Amino acid sequence: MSAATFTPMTPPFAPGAYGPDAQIMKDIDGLNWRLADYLKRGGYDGLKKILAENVPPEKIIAEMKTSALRGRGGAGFPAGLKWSFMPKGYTGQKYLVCNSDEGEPGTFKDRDILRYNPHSVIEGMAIAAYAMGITVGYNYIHGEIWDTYERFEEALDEARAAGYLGDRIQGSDFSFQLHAFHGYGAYICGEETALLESMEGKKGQPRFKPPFPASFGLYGKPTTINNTETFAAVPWIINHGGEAYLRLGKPNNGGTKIFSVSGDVERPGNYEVNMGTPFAKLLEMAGGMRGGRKLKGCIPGGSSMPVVPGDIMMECDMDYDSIAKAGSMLGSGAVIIMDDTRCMVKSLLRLAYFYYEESCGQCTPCREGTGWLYRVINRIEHGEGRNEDLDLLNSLADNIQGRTICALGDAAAMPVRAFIKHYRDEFQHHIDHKRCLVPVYV
Amino acid sequence: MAQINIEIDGKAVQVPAGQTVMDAANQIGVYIPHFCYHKKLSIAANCRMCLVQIEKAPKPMPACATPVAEGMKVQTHSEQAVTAQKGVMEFLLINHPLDCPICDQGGECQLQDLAVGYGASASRYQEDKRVVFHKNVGPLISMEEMTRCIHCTRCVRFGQEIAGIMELGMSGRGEHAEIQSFVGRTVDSELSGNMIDLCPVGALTSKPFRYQARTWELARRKSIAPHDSLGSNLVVQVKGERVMRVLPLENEALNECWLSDKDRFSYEGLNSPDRLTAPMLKQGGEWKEVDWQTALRYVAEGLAGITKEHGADAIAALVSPHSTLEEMALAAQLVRGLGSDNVDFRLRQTDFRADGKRRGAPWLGMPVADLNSLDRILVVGSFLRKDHPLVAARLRQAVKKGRGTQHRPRHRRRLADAGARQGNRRPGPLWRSAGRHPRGAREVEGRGRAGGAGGGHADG
Ligand SMILES: Cc1cc2nc3c(=O)[nH]c(=O)nc-3n(C[C@H](O)[C@H](O)[C@H](O)COP(=O)(O)O)c2cc1C
Ligand code: SF4
Ligand code: SF4
Ligand code: FES
Repeated sequence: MSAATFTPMTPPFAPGAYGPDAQIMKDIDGLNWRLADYLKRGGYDGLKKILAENVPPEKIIAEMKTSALRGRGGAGFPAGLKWSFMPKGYTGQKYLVCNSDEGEPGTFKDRDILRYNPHSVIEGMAIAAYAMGITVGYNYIHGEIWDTYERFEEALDEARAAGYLGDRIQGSDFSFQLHAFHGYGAYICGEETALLESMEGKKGQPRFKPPFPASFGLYGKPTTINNTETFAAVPWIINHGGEAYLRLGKPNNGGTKIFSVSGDVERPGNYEVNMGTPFAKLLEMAGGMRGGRKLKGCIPGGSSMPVVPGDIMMECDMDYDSIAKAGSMLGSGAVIIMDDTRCMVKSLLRLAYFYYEESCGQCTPCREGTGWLYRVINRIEHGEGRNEDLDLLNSLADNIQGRTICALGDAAAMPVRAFIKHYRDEFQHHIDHKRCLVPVYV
Repeated sequence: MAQINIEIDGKAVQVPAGQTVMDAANQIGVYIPHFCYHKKLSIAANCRMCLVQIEKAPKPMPACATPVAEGMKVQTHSEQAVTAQKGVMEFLLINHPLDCPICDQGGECQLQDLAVGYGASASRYQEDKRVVFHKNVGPLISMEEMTRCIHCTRCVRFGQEIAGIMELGMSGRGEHAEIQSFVGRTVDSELSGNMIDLCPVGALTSKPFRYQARTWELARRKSIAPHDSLGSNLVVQVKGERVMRVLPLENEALNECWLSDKDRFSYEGLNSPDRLTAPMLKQGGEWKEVDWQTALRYVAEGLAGITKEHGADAIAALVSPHSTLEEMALAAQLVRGLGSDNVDFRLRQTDFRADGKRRGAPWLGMPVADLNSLDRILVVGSFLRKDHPLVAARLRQAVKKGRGTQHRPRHRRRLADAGARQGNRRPGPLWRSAGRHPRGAREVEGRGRAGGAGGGHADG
């Protein structure tokens, strides 16, 4: 395949590199990540305004609810609603955690935010802490992006020195200590409760829920966890109002979203667009299909989500509800594009291997099932498939999905079902003819 | 506490708020298949065998971890529930070696039992099975066939929560997850044998009992623990005239469902070739086996001779405190019959000034079970973990309650060391270990492991 033609974006980026709709990544050129640059772009205005005017926390949460900002980490849970779950009048320690463990195959947006606009996350977290009466926060950064972790530490130092973090921020009564924390690269540590376990110094394994982190979180204390991009969107909402944010997108799907477009396109990369932007437009921003080939399928929300056939995808808009209607989920916003040279058996094999490797091994269906799925798909790919295998795969997926402690089980099962549903004949061809249906392109 | 009304398989049941569906089902005798759930351990919800159907829930829910809610309708045997349970059983068996004929757990294995009800007769899994390397964790627990492990983590939770030292853990991820001790260490807890009981499969088995007998060959005799000064209830299992193993007998007032290792494994002494089984006399510097009549006559004459020459007061008996009350009473009767009043069991006591100044028999002053809810504890001159492992386990629960938190491993570790520590001045329930713990105890600990300042811990 023609992988060699792509050169990654290196700073400084051309103006508008993230697209004309960009809000979080507006005017980002890859070099202007420092505090001084952020202030020039109007950074920390939101936080300063809140502190100067003593805005009541309820008002901020109400604004967040109006904005219809939905969690960007995968589940799309309304952020304002999540914030309102924090127990009020609780006198003990509460924690705020940012989930920058970005490990979902296809997703690479949080890394860009932390690298090129780290202060937006710091400001967003400070505002969130203020709204929920939290004094200590952590940002859990994926272990395999060490340079990004170091940069975030640097940004923290800048913010502390300038009085945007620490005791009595900007001379107000509000204090907020924010620390960076790095993981070691396990995908499962992105699951919020596994992340908490990992931060507590234990093995990263999800906890059974309930209780949810809002009542039993880090060290057993009430905790709110949001994704990096979720926090990064907060300053804009405070500056422009929830209503304005909502209007950028669609009802129930407020604001802009950064999509990590990868696969068979001319210009893979992160593109920030308004919610509800047609997929076709996003594809165009990414330079269209590589070599003008045909779109065979697209995974619109990161590897955990069901694949959508090309023709359906071309008609789809990029927001939570539209993608759900197309039979998939927006997830983390990783758009994986596959053209007609892609073998779907091999693609699924690649995904199945990932979940097999990343299962934490705690609960039976996922620990045992992910390996079984992988092995069956592997034998189909290698021409040893049996006639009953497709039904077997579906039945295994049924036995995993909805039966596990965390959503990794679902994430392993859903792609299997969708791939078989949409590309069954391709799988069948592998089984019948012991070779690939897709002609070999050179 | 508020009572919640729910319905399980059509039967109405009222349970306190905060209980789980599993608790409620237990209350009315509805059996829900399970592996990881254990009433004395925290909820892990990892085996997924207990999935049940709950009205309005979109997917089957684990009964062991789902709190009851008013008006909840639970189906434990509906099609959805049974399909889910069978699905889990299939997964549990794909990598299991199915070596029941050569497995010590055979006949008393939860997996075997449940596989009869929920397993299929043939497996759809045709690939290679996982093999897990065996481990050696000391003389008591056999971990020869860890491939059998179903990762329920009961053994791990027991260590963390009951024994107070986390000696086993689950390392690795996914299919490679395995139960093991910290790099080659042995399992040294005084309560380690309970992990053998807890293990629902034949992964952890008893080393001394290995390949000795099948459970159905054994006759069961109820008895009392001789070594833990608690009178723990136990079952002696015998084949013919030979004691094959000892297991705890549940008694909430004393030992709950646990037994200390010394009481569990000391039966080995019974079958030891070193054991004195016939009377012997030492004559001319040499031990000679004699019959009972000869021996008794020799002793009787000896005692009579002493009485005649030095007076009955020259006779005294020291009885091991590990003897039963009946044995002690008989010994006292014998000595007093000889005209002496010199009989005692306090072998290690040196100061007897309180004798006669206290009325009644000295005792704990409260039921053993009440130890769990004490809010101040002063331990004097005892290394609890060694002396009274099950009392230590109860005090550990008391400390946990006092702290109001269950997720403080640091604090659990302290607890494990509580007996060995002196003057813990942290707030919370007061732990003081006055005086020194016996020197020997520290030596038994070996390798400076859990006993000392708690610094060299595997998880530290
Ligand atoms: C297996 C698994 C992996 C996850 N990985 C991530 C991740 O890398 N980053 C992330 O933000 N959320 C991840 N999540 C979702 C989090 O559990 C959680 O929903 C999210 O951080 C909440 O933030 P949000 O509401 O802002 O989206 C993952 C979930 C699962 C089940
Ligand atoms: S679903 Fe998989 S990753 Fe999640 S807790 Fe269970 S075994 Fe671990
Ligand atoms: S060894 Fe036994 S008790 Fe421990 S996790 Fe495995 S099956 Fe469970
Ligand atoms: S018994 Fe409920 S999940 Fe194991």
